[in-house]
Amino acid sequence: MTTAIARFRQSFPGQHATSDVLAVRLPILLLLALPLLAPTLFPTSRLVSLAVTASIYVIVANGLHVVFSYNGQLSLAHTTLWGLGAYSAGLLLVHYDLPIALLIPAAGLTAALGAVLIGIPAFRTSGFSFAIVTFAAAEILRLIGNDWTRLTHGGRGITIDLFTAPTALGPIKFDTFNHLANFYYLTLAFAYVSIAGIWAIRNSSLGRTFIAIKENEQLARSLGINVYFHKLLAFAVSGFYAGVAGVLFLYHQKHIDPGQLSPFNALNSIQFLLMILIGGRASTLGPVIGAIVVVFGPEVVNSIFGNILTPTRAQIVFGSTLALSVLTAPNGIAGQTRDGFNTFVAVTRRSRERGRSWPVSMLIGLGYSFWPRAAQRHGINVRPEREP
Amino acid sequence: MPSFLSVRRLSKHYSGVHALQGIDLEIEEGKVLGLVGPNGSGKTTLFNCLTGFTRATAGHVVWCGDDITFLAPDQIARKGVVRTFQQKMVFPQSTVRENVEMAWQARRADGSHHILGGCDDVMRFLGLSPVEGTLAADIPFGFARKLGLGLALAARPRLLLLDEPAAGLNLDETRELGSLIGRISGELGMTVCVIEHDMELIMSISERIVVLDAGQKIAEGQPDQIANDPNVIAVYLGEKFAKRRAAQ
Repeated sequence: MTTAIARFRQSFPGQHATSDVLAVRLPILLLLALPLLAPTLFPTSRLVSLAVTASIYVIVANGLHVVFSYNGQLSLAHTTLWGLGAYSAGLLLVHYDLPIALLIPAAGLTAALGAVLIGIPAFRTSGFSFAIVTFAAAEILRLIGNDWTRLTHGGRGITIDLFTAPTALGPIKFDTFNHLANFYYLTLAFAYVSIAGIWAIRNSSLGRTFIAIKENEQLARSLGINVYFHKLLAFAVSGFYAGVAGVLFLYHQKHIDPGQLSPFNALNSIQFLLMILIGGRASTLGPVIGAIVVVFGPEVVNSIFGNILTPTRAQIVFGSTLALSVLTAPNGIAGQTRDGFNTFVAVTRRSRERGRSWPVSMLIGLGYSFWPRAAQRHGINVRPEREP
Repeated sequence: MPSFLSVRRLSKHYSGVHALQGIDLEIEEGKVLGLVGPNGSGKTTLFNCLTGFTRATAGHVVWCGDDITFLAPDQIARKGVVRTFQQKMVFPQSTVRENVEMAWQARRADGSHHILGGCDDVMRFLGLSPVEGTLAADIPFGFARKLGLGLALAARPRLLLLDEPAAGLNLDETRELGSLIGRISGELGMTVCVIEHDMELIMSISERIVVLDAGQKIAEGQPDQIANDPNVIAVYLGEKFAKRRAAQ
């Protein structure tokens, strides 16, 4: 037990004591548990529905996190992989009436396969060329969705009838009309699994290999790492995530088509990149925070300014806030919070050592926590924020 | 018996520029080979061709009986030929320990019991243990050079190719590097091939030296032979070096 505690302590940046570890990890775990209360806390089913959307976004963004943040590849095909998952699930549902327990792995694998097929030519290039190739691949898939009418039902898309489609997993029903909360818990469960998944990847030798490739591809290659294979693998993993999210999206929306607002639109990929950048590229929970901000941010802005601003102007306010947050917190909300907290601890400790009382020290620490760079000027060096 | 590594009539042309022109070279197992020559003489191109980063225009590289001329860099590394780089030699945003771990796990154990038992051994061997928790971007240059060496060692090569390992090091660090290379050859039993401009270093560590000029091998032999070779003095070492050496 003691060794477990000691190891736990070491797992945290060296400068903090055990109390700090608990002080950091416990609130994070509690915050992570908070979404469980959403159906009871949210007054309207519209908000619960938004929470479902946020959970689905979390899954897609987590998948993109593996490719973009860990492996350093700017993929613009992600929304399309998401749509590929939704489409394959829709077709399987319409033609074969498969239960969701089979749809989810099937859609996940289809999207993973799609990712591999896109990746095989795309990873011959890198950097911006790679982004363009993935964008083109996404457009091709969208055109297939639109024009291969016999397979995909064309522009009409696929509508599933939830009254006849299988919507129960054992005894638990989760159709979105009568059992929205159940469906929310289902998506939430997948969101948790996706977080655990990328956390596990981040802390495995596989994750380290992905990061090595991002940091210095040539060096990685010279050490015997098969760069091409690992890029494909990261892309396939993230495709799987997107595919799973696609099934949940399909059940939530009951309809999918290749149009502008569907997940089958390559331009929408930008919003997942945005989530990661806002939340923090360097943190496991970055995409989660980003997804929540992107989904609920407009709601918050509306509830504050709803009476004085038209919806369009509220959107402008929200957009400007996002731009400002990316400018002021280049490491994302997660990175900024961590920097701030570390500064708070370090400054408070220093202040205590200089004989100030607890309340005064903490007040000073709190002040500096909003501006870690100012504390650095006084020689307080918090562990530098870094890429994952 | 197949030779350790042999280069046969290797050429590399870059649209008109003849970087390598029919190089023949043998690397003997267990020895330290020095590779010298003026800038642009093709030393690094030769390394690139040996490790698969550049595709040779003509000729062959044979490693323990296998033709590895057209293999990919990672395949060659997994066969046991690992190189270091002059620049960008580490993973900057990872700690020293994570760097070494990445390199260690990149090559699965091949059954043969290696003298380096793990990452700790690599770091202890190079004296990197004190900075193991620091980001590689934040460690002093001398340590970064050593870490670059450590990455290559952690990949457990049989043939280690060092591309200017002393560039940017001060006198003490260079001397330390010299003894390190000696220990890599002696204690770890790796064959080493070094590109270096520091002639004192190369003379002291190499058992044999090959001199390149304009993509051709102009001399090969013991350090003393090379130091007194009038051709080498003319194109690379210079009269000053020869006089200083004669005075010693």
